[in-house]
Amino acid sequence: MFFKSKRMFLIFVLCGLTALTGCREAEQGRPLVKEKGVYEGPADTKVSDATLHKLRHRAARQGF
Amino acid sequence: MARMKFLCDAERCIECNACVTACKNEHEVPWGINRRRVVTIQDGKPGERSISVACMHCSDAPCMAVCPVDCFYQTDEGVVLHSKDLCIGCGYCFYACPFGAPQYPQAGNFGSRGKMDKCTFCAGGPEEDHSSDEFQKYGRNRIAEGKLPLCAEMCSTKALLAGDGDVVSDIYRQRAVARGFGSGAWGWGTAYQRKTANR
Repeated sequence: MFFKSKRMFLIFVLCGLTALTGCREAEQGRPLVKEKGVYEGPADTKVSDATLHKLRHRAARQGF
Repeated sequence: MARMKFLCDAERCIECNACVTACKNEHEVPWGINRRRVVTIQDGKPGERSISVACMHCSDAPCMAVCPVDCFYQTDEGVVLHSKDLCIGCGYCFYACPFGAPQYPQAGNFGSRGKMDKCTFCAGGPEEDHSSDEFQKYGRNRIAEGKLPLCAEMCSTKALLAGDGDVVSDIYRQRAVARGFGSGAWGWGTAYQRKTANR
């Protein structure tokens, strides 16, 4: 068969289980499941209303 | 507030490339990358037109739709930005973009491109505003200071307009009303002895 003895099979299963424990997200320190269509990077700083007002005023001054 | 948009008035653009120079200088854009470029058609012939092209910050951005790692995001003002930390340099956004806005700094072996770079509407990136990280990766953040993109502010003829879409379209509408449109615009009648638009 694939494994020459029961001992080899048992060792293979134990190694496999040990490897699977390394897949926990907390141990990896990074997201493991990617949700398609969702930005998962750092959030950008929002522009304040006062700044937007300043930008609108500045844009209007382009008209000449 | 409407979305932030660019509009290049092709009647006024004189292909001086001040917008290109201003952008490259302000953001210290590396060699080989042109965040903004001036495209001229019918060069040297009647009907010559120039237009300054960069990222158009599309409302339904195809680059954002095709990105396999979703490194793009859109701010509340409609500016399309991306995170270089998440970018894998696959080049899909370049294929998708009708304006060829995404650019890549490297032309290495085995198709390695480096992180994608493009016009940010002078809005920096997801890093902290005015940090050295943000400047090094994305360039200056003028929007956070209440300033418009430098390309539009430096335009010698005010062909390139940037800002609130409502304001920009209003400016362009006033110009079109004053001068006419297309072959009926002022100047062409004088040049080709055709009837000019009434002002």
